Amino acid sequence: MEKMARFIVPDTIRTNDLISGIAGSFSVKKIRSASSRKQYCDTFDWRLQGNNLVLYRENRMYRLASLATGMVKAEAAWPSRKQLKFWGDLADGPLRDILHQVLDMRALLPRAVTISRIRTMHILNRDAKTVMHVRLERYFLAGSPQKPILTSLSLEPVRGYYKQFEEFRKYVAGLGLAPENDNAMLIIYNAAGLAPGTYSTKLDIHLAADQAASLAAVDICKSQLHIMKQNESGIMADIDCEFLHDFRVALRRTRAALSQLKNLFAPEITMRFKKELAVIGSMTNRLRDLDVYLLKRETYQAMLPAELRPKLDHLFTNLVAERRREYLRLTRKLKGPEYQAIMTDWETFLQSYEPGNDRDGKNAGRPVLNLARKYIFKSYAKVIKQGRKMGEDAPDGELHRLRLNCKKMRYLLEFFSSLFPADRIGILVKHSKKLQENLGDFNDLFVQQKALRDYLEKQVPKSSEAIDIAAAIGGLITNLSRKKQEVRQVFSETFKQFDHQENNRLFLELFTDKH
Amino acid sequence: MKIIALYSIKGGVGKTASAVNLSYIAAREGASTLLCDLDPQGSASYYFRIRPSKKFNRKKFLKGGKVIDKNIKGTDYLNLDMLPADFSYRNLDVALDDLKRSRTRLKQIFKPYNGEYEYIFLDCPPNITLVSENVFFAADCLIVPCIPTTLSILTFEKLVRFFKDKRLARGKIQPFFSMVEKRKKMHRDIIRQVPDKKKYNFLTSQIPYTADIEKMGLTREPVVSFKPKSKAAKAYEKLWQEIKKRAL
Repeated sequence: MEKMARFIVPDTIRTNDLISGIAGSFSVKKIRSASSRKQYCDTFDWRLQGNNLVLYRENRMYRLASLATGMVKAEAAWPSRKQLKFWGDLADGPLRDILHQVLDMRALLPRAVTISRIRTMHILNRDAKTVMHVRLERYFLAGSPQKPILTSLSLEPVRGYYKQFEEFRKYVAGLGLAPENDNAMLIIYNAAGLAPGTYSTKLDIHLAADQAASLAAVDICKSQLHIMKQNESGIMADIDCEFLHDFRVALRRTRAALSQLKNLFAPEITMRFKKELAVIGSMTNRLRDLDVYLLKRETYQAMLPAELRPKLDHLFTNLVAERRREYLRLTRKLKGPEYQAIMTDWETFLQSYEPGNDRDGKNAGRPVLNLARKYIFKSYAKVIKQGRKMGEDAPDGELHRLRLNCKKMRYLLEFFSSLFPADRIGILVKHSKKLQENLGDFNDLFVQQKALRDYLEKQVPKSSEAIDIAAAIGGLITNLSRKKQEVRQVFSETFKQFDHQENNRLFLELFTDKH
Repeated sequence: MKIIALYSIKGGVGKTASAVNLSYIAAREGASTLLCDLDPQGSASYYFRIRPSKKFNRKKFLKGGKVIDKNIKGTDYLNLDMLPADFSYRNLDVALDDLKRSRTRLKQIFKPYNGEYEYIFLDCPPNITLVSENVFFAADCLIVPCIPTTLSILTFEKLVRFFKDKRLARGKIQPFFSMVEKRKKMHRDIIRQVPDKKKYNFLTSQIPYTADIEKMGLTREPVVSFKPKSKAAKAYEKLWQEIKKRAL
């Protein structure tokens, strides 16, 4: 029942004229003036924007509003002078809950600051009753107080007086004011020099079926290199752990492209970059592992009975300290000569690559569609063969190998999805994602179990405290082991869903000439 | 959700002024509040400058549901909404009598608002009819303003007896002294004597007779809003705190 209408006032209409126009056509009371400073924030990957939300700090409150209408959906007091970084920093309440869902582990970054001058008017009826609230807000970027970047007119109805609301709305529309949708925030962000929604880890490369395969590969690698570079400063500033995660995913995709798409570039080039990119990968491994363990802290706590939970603190204190050391180490490496040299080499190669030189491999000039079909189908066949052979008692190692092959298949599907009909390839990507996630869960649990065991072995149970810690970790290991078994059992069902007639038919149809 | 009725058999005792000011204070504290005007004279509606829709009448009110939703209007104050009275309410009791479950109908009408409003204040007409019986059943507490005179107390006793006869919960009745003039000896005497008798259970807060409260008819605002530091405003604030503590 709560409606609100917002309009953008174009530069051609002077606000004073607008106000006197309204005062002339309606009965107006209390033209109050106020000013407001709003500090907008969003994650690096614009998660709030993507969910049609906008979060800003005003006075000592954080307010979450609808991107389209500006209506506040939730708010919370924030007396601290520091910025809000993670949803967990908020006190319990609706704002915390919504941000938990939308942001997950991403940190909020300050994006733009506006200062606005606000004039509020109450529209009255013949009984001098307020039937509507009108607010005219003029936005300036903090630091540029002379140039207004946006003027908006908001109409807020009073319950039971919707006829008057509609009447006023028509009046405003008749003045030529455009209803505001997402435009207002876009105008503000653009004025601040930002382009929201432009960071995405989704593979959105458009390839042409007859494009030379090596050029297509270069396009893919360029897009991933761009993602890696965008995340460098976020890693070094230690904003949140997703920067490193996105960096590593982009790196993994690059390495998958180099190893799966064979005979494109000269063998010594492919080999060289495979090696160099592997070096970068290994620089980041330990830090990522530690980030993942620290993310699991609450999950682990929940797995143990209350008395044992404090015993985990010792383990986590160690992990936090090690994590800090690894983070500093990685930052030094990213600023260091080895990393810079590898990235420069790789970028130079990609930017200056031209097809048709005779050192290229035999597949370089082939139409990418042919290559895509061949490699996708091959990797798919491998996954099917392996999965079908997998018995209930197959050793963990076999599951790992299957997981890696599944990953390769999925990357290939994603690289080349633009070459195939969207809905059909969408189905295959979805199903392979599901299978890979199941296998990924299994791997996660396996790795964590192993890490805990290793930690346990290093502890010498001399004190009773140490024995308690061992008990806690032992409890965790058992719990994880049980979960691992559950995931393992789900696997055969998940695989059956993947190895389904419909999927098989689609794979044949899209990637082979046999139907 | 709590339903608070401002009720008195006698008229002119300060029911509406109390309903308007108490609901204003409740809303100002942040509680989502509805003031329902059941008096066909419509004084509460007048104070808030709200008229009912032309199509609204007693039959529609008793039907409940969407038609009531459409007639609830926002006052000029945050968190405070109002359901204005219609003149057709003068025969609300007759309309009730035509319906089934004639004593519990009012409670049913307000049930759907549980969750939307924390408090529903009822400004009741000064009589004792089927409408009042509905109020007695539906309300969580019955705030009864009494002018400290002998006749007022007699009338109040009639109310208590009515509750006893109909086996209604007498604990709901929360009387208080209204329009008090300390310079009048009778007022002082009644105020001193009556609360000694436990059966009356008077609230300790009192509302004085002041010109400010009478001015409400001119300003058309709760006195707590236009003169928050006045004796009257402070008295209403104290009364609300005591009601919350004692009865809610």
